Amino acid sequence: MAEAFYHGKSSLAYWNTSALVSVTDWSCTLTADTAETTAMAASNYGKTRLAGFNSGTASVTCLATGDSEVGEGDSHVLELLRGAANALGGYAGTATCTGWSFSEDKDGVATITYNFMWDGEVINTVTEGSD
Amino acid sequence: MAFFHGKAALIKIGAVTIESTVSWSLDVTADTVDTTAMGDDWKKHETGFIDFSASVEGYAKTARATVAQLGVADSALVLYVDADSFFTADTAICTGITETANKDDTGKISYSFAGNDSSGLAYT
Repeated sequence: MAEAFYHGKSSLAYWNTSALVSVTDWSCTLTADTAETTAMAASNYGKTRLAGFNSGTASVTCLATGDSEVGEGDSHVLELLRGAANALGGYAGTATCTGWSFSEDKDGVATITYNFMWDGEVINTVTEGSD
Repeated sequence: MAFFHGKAALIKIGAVTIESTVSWSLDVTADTVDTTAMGDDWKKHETGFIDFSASVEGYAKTARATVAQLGVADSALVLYVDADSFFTADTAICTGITETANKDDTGKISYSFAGNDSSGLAYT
């Protein structure tokens, strides 16, 4: 499938195979640890490194509709979809909810942001959307 | 002397252009050690290794395989100022990827890179 822009209005988030409701945005951050290999040598000018472990975090913000949909400390499959169709891809893997924050403002509606830590491999293939 | 307009900028990993980018930035640093001794009035320093990091911002794309880029260290990173001028690192490691979807906006993505080149960074 060819790459294309996407608008977030069609994006989705699933937790433990259930769609999170009233999602306003999601974010996925992946990082690769590095370890330095820079050594003494007159000819060495720049630093060198080796890649270490991959890891990541994610967050999903929803308009609050009542009780939390995701329990802190729970671990399930988290899927972040770029759009309704699986072919559009996204991010999927087992994640642990490391906490959530609830906020409310006099000029807005209450929101809840769930924070996750990916637990193991994250892939771009998602399965909760339409085929 | 000419100015550089960002619309002509470009980022390549190896020979492949990262599509739909909107900005990039490069930070270059030089380690220094203090060589100041008693009797000096002003601090003095000796230069150590050179290092750099880069970040690239752009639009996220459907069907893009981003995870496979994480931790990859075997490709050149080329940051084009315009069509003729660019910074090149023989190898750089992709140390971070952040993709964000928002209900009111186009999907966005950012990449972070760390230098991995004993000869440092070249400007052409």
